[in-house]
Amino acid sequence: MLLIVLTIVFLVVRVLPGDPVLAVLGPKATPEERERMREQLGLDKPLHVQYFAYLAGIFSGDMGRSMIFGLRPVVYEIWDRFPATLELSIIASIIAAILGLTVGSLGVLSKKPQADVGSRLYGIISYSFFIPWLGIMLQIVLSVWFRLFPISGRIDPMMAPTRITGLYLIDSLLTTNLQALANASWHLFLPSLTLGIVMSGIYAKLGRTSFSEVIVQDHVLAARSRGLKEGTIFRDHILRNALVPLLTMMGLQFALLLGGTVLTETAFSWPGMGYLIYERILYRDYNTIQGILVFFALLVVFVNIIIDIIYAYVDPRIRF
Amino acid sequence: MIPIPRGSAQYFVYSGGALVAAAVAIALLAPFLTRFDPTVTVDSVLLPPSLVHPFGTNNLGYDMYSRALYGARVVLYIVFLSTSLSMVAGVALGLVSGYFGGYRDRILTIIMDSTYSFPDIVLAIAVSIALGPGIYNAAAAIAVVYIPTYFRMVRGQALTIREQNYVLAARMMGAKAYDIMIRYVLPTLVPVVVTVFTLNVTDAILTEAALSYLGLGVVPPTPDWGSDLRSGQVYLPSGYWWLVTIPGAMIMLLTIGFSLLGEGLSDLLNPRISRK
Repeated sequence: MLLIVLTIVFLVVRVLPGDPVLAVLGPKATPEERERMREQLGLDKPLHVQYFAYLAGIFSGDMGRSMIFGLRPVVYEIWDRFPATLELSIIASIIAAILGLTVGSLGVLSKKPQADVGSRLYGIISYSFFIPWLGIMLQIVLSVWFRLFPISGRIDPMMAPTRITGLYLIDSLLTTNLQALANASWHLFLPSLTLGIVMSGIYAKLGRTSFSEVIVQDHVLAARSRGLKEGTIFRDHILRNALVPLLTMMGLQFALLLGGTVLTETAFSWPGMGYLIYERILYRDYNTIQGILVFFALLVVFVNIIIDIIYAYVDPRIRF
Repeated sequence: MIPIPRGSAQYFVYSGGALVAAAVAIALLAPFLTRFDPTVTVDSVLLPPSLVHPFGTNNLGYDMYSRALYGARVVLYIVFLSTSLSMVAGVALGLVSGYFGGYRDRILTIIMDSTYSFPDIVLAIAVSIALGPGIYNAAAAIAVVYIPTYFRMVRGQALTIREQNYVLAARMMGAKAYDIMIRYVLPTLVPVVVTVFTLNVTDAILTEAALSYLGLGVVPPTPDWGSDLRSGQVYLPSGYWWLVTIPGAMIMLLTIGFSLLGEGLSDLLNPRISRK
């Protein structure tokens, strides 16, 4: 299956119209210069040779070189940008899970039909936001009118903490650089809120389904008839069981989250992989685009495997 | 599942249907609702909303009101084309895969599952870079992304229905596979496919807007909400709010309309099938 994913990426990227070499060097380049570059990038070889070189490269952690900016290896480009995407997705997921699960469970637990319809409407409306638009609206109000938050970027120039993990929040904590921590959180707030709100709609929907299935179970009724406090019932009998199916669903939503980062990053000029893909489309930088696509797909597959493992751990009935 | 409050499904369908109908009406009647051509400089640049230009003008002096109206045409056209295309392809492939099984099923399933490893938008970006910009290419890119959605669902249904007695009876009487699929299997799929179609339109609208926003789908001067949002965003720090507010609000109203319609229909048509 992985092989098919990789093959799809290769095929899609190689049928791109336009000559990348021409796009990079410009129309003034001599034929010799173009030929030299083609050779450097391996584009002069037949397609099947390129294909096997590409596969061999990926399995040895080499995704070729960027076609612009001094032919930097694609792996480095991703290495530079990935932490920004990771930081944004983690914080956005936390916001989404808290917001969405609260709304979704409240709708079910309050047992009032109005509350349930309300939570469904919340799910529908927040999922219907076009991410860049929500981001831009927040920018207008909070950045342009009230000047509370920066409009773009990840941190002010020269403020970046020493790279340990690449996640600014963690790095600045580790180096006890509080100024950088404050500045990074300040930049992170709007993008993660934007993505978090949109993703929370899905969590609200999933939470609603999952909670409503659990509260009608016999063991909940039994717990209630034993006279347990509502709080205890919720914590030990409802929440635990409702979260198990949510875990796998979170795995399925991971691809959606990654797609969301592409739009969020573009709207906020957030220097992650999504913004990188947007920048490189303009330059027809095939190798980098291909590398990011492969990386995204590998990430989704990898995360789903991890979720499966956690799933078996959380629910002892499941054994592989 | 908790019981759905009586009437809320109908309410969802009515309100969603009203929004969708309004969008279709706007798209069809655009020339009667505005006297401005959306792709022509009609006034000074960057005028704020006024009586003549209810949504102001953009950096080229185009009337944003007429662009908002004609934008509905473009997005509905693309989305209708692409979702129909993925529905036809997905249903056909799903039927073949589920009904015949065997090697055809294995090959198709593995290809469809692989495309699921890509985020929607990322796959659409990849295909649309390959095809280039333009209305039809955007439609094709979006169509490719959503084929697996139909495929998976139809395949699952076809697998169960294939074993039903009436299908076995038809096969024993010597009906051809093609006839069985069209006459016996396909009609049972209609409610599910209709629901998925409406919900799928929501995603397709957002993907279309995303492609245009990233400069890949519909390119200016064709009026499109996604690309208007992109070009308006440049003027955001100077406070020209109307350039970005309107196109995005239009996208949102349309997606909410289809979501409500889809949610309501899924409650009414498939009460037993809970959402994924």
